[in-house]
Amino acid sequence: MMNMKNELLLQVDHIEKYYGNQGIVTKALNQVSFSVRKGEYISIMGASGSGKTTLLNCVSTIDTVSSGHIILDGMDITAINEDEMAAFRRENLGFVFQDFNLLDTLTLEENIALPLTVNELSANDIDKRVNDISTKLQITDALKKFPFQVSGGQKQRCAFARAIICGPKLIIADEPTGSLDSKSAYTLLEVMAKLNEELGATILMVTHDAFSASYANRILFLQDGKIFNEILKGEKSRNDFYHEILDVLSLLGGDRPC
Amino acid sequence: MLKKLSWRNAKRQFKDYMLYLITLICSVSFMFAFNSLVFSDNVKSLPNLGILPYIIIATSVLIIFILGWIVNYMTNYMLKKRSKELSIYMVSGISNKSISNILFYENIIIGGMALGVGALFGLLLSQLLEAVLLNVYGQTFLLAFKFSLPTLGLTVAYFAGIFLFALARNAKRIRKVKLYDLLYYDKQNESNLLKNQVFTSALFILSLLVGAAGILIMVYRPFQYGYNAFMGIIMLVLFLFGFFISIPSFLTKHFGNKNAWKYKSNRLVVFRGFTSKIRSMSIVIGVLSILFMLAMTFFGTGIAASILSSRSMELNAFDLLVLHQGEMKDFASYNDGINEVTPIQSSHQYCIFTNSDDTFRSVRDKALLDLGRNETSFYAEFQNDTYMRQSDYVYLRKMLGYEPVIIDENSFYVHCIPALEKDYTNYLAQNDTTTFGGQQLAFGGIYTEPFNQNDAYGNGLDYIVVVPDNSTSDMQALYCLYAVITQSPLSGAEIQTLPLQYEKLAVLDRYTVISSSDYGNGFGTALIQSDVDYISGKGAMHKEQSTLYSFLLCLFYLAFILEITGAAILATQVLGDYDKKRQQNKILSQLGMSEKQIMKLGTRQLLMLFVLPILPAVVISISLIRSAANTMQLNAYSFPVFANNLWIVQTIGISIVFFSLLYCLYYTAARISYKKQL
Repeated sequence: MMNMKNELLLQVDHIEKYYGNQGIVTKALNQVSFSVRKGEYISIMGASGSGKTTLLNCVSTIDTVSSGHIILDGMDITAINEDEMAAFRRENLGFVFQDFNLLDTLTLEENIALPLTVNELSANDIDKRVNDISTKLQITDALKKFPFQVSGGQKQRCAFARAIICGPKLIIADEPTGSLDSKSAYTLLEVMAKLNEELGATILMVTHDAFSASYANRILFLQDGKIFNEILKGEKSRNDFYHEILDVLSLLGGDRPC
Repeated sequence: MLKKLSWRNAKRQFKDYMLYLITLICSVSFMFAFNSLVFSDNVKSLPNLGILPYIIIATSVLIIFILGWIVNYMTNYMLKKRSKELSIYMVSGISNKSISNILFYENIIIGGMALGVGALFGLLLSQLLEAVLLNVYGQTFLLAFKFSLPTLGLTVAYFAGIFLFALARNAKRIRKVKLYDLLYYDKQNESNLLKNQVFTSALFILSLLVGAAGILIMVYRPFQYGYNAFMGIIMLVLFLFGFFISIPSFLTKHFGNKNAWKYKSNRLVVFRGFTSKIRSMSIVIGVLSILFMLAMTFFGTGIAASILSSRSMELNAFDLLVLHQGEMKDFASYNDGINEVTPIQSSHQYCIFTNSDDTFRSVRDKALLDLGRNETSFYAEFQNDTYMRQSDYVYLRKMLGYEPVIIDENSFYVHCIPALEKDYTNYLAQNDTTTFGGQQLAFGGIYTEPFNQNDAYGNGLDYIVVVPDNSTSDMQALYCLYAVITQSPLSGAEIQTLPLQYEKLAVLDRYTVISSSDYGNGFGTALIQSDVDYISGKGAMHKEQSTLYSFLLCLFYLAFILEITGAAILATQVLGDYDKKRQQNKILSQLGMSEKQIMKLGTRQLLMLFVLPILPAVVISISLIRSAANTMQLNAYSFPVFANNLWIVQTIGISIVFFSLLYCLYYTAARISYKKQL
C-alpha cells in the first residue's frame, strides 16, 4: 500500500479556466496546480463560486481547460479528442454527484450494472460484481427497487456502487452528501473511507461540508479560482482535523456549518 | 404586459411544438379544401354528385370531434409541461384568472396563425382537389383562385368549435389548479395502472384472445351482418386498450428479469426507457393505435373501392353499348353524335336472343349457391338462357383484338366470366351435346375474356351461349346492341352528353328497377321505358359510382386527418421529455458511452415507440381491409371479378405503403427534432 501511495496518479499543472466572451470574462480557475497520489483521499473545499466544481469538471473531462495540463496516470487528458474521451472515462473515472444521477427507469441493481453493460461484460460477471458491491454497501435489499422507491441514502450508496464497480483509477465525488440526512451522510462517508483504506481507492471529493471533508487525508481550499490553502490530516484524529478545517474556513470567510 | 407575455409565449410555443402546429395547419388546409367543394360551382355542375356536400359535412363533423379531442389533449399536455412556468406566475401574484387569460390569448394567437396559414394552403389544395374531381368526370379544369367567403366562414366555424371547446376546458383547469400541484408536478411519479403482475399477465393474454376473436368475427361473420361489425369493433378496441395497458408490465415481467438478455448490446437503457414510456402513456398509445387502425382501414377501403371501380371499367370491354329493346334497328343514327365527341374506330350491331330454356342459367345459379349466395338474378330479362350468333361473336372478338377462334358451325360455345369457367367446363364435360332449334350441336369450347358480362344488359349476364346463326331463328330477340370502340375512351361526362342530342336515348341505370310481371312476381327490369334506347359502356358513370367517388374522397380525407393528428401526438409525446433524456444521456456519457452510441440508443428507442402503436393497428386493419374488400366485391358483383385474392393483397400493400410514407415523414421529423434537442 505504501508503495502505491507514492505513485503519482493525477497531476494538475497550472490550469486556467475562463468563462464569458470578449466583453466580460470570468476567471473561474487561475493557475491551479496540485497532484494526487494513488490511494489518496482528497477534499476540495471553498465558498460558493470559488471554482471547486469547475476544477472537478475539468479533472473529470466534463469541461475543458482554457490553458494548462491535467495528467492522469501518465495521460494528458487536455489533449484527448472527443472520440477517445468516452473510452477514457469508462476506463479511468467513477462519478458520484449530489443529486445521485441515477436513471429513474432502471432498478438500483440495473443502475449499478449499467457501466458493466457498457463495457460488455457477461451477465454472470455482472451479477457477481453487483452482488459483491451491494453487499459491501448494504443495499442488497433494495436492489430490485426503482430509485423513487428508496431513501436518499440508498440512492447515494447505489450511485457510489455504480461509480466504483468498474474499479476506476479515480473516484470523483461532487458534494456526495449534499442531499442526504446526517445519518445517511455518515454511512456513506464511512463506506468511502473504508473503501479508501482497504482497497486503496483514490478519491477526489468536492464539498463545502467540513464534517464530510474531515474524512479525507488532505484538503485543498480554493478561493477565487486559486488554491488558498492546503492541510494534511496526518496522524491527527478526525475530530481535531475537523476543527482545523473549521479554522481555515473561518479564515476564508466562506461557508460555515449550521 | 400580460398580452406581451402571451405573444412571447406563443412565439416560443411555435418552436417547441412545431410538428403539432404543422399538423394543425395541414388539418385546416384539408378542412378548407373540402369545404370549398361544398360551395364550388364546378363541382355542383358534375352529374349525380348531389350527395357530396352532405358526405363532406358528415365527415367534417367527425373530424371536428377528433380534432377537438386532440387539441384538448395537446393544450392540456402543454400546460403540464409548463407547470413550473405557471407556478412562477402564481408566486409572482398573478391570479389564476389572469393566467387563464394569458393562456387564452396565447392559444388564440396559435390558433389564428394555424387558421390563417391553413386557409392559404387550403386555397391551393382546393384547386388540386377540384382538378382531381373534374378529371375523374373527364372535365377540363381551369385554375382560378377565387377566395370563397362561405368556405372561409364554414372553416372558421369548424375551427372555432374545435378550439373554443379545448380552451374552455383549459381555462377551467387553470382556474382550479393549486400552486402546490404546479410546483411538484415533475416530482409526481407516473402512475402504474396495473401493479398486480399475475393480473397483468392474465390481462395481456386475455386481450390477445379478445383481439383474435374480434378479427375472427370480422373475417368469418358468424352472426348477422350488423352484429358482426358491432361485436368485432368493440372486441378490437378492448384488445387495443388491454394490450397497451398490460404490455409494459408483461415485458418487464418476462424480459426485465432475464439479465443475460437485457445486459447485452446496450439493451438495458433502451428496454427500460421503452417500457417506462409506454407505461406512462398506455391509454394514449391505445387511442393512437385506434386512430392508426382506422386510418389504415380507410385508406385500404378506399383503395379497394378504387381497384374494383377500375376493374369494372376493364370488364366493360366496349367503350359504348347502345341497347335497343326488341327486334333489330339501325343504330347508324347515333354515329354522328358519337363521332362529335370522339371518332368511332369500329362498331357492330347485333342481337342477344333468348328462349324458354334455363339450362345454363341453372349452372350459374348453382355456382352462386356454392359461393353461399342464394339469390338469383332479379332482372326479368335474365331468367332464361341468352344466346349470340356465331358470326356476331367472331366479329366482336375481332373488334376487341382477341385471339381469333375457329368456329365450327355444328358446335356451340360458351363465353363467360372467369369465375364460371370451371363450373361450365365440369357441366359440359358430362353434357357435351345439346339441341338448339332442332339441330344437335357439340360443345366447342369456353372463352373468358372481358366481354361486358359482369353487369346486366351486356352480352348476357355472366355468360352467353354462342350458337350457329341459323339456330336463333326460333329464338326471341331479347334486345339488340350496338357495340362501339372509339379512338379514345369516352368519359362519364361525355357519355352523359349523348342523351341530350337524342330524344329517345338515356344512360342505363342498372340500379333503378321497376317490377316486371313477365316472369312472375319478384323480378324487375332496368329498361324502364320501352321506347327508349339505353346507353352504357366503359366510362358510363352511374349514380352509385358517383356516390362511391364521394365516399372515396371523404375516406381519404378522414384517413389523412386521423393519421397526421395521431402521428403528431405521438411525436410530441416522445419528444416531450427531453429534459429527462438529456439528463440520461449526460449520465451515460459520464459512464463512458460515446456520443454516437448514446444517439444510437435514443433513435432506437424512438423507432420502437413509433413502431409499437402501428403493429396491432396493421394486424387489425389487414383483417378489416380484407373483410371490406370482400364485402364490396360481393355487393358489386354476383361473382368474384378477380381470379384470386391477389388484388386484396395488393390493396393491403398499397394502403400500408401509403400509410407508412406519411408516417415516416413524422418519424423523420421527430428524429431530426430529437437530434436537435440533444
